[in-house]
Amino acid sequence: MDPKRRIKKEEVIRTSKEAEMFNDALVAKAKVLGFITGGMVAGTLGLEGVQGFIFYFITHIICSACICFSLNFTAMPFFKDLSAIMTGNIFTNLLSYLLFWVMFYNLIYVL
Amino acid sequence: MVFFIGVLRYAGRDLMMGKGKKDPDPINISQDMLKNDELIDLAEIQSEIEGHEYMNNALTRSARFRTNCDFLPPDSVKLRKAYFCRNETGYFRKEVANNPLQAMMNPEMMTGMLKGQFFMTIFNFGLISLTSTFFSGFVNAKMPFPLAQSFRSMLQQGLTLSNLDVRYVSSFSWCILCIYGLQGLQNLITGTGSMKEEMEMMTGGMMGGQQKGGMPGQPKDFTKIFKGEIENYEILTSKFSLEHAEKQVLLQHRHTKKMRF
Repeated sequence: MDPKRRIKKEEVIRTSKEAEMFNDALVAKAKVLGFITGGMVAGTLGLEGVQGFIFYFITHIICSACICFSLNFTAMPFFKDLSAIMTGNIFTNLLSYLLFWVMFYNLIYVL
Repeated sequence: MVFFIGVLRYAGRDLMMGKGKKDPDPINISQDMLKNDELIDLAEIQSEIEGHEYMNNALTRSARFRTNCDFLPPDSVKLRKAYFCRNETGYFRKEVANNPLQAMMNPEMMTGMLKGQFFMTIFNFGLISLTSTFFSGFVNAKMPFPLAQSFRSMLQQGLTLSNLDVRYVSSFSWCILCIYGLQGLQNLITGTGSMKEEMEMMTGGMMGGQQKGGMPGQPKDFTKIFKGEIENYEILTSKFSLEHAEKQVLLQHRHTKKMRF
């Protein structure tokens, strides 16, 4: 489908559910590495407490922006809504981020 | 030294990544019956096969129908709904007796699925207990954020200094942090991580909620399942999405020079 085609009212967009689920899972997988590197950055910068969690959300925004950029900001053939990338799976990678944050914080500042 | 302990722990996690592939195959009742090693006369199990096959097929067929009913014209939808739900003669209005033979087939399913689950959870527990006995008494990590005092008993299990800041945690908590934190990475490297079975156990299984009888261990209660399907049909609304199909085709090709209106 041409992404620039305007949708008329009578048209119904049908998507296959397996494709939708696959795309969502792919977005989640793509973010994992981003969060891990975000955790490393937070650890090396020595962020403490609340700053670290704020940096978690900053990392989330940066990862979502990168994914949107790679889609050229059109959701059309792949997703229904670009904002779903930003709002979905917010806390899924929290533990990975936490692990790498703690690990690098310890490696550099404590030991 | 604490650094080396941390590295060792990390290496232990790397090992765990490789052992996460205990996915058992999904088991069908009919497949189970046909995979027996003994030679069985077809006539013996013919009646069992018939009953189960039709019930399984009807359920899956009606589920598929409900998800895709938008592609059928409204008359066909009504026809199929009536076939399943008509009073007295509809398929889901049948009274079905619980087959006592079902209880015999289910233990096979149980051992197949739960074996994989138990193995991985026991592996996890074993790893945790191993690390906590080997590396007890070491201060392993300092958390970058302040914690409440009530977490002290959880996070500082082996440590003897009781006045230590809660930010300093024991190796046990670092172990747990590693397990949960590296699941994401495991999912990327292997197909799925080793915690899929644990998560399934905790959320009650993916298919258990659907079938309403619970997959492992209980005979399927078909009357309840059928009632549930009838209720699903009552709330089903379908809009024939191909109604304007011709109009869409014409709209698509309205700029082609060959079509003249």
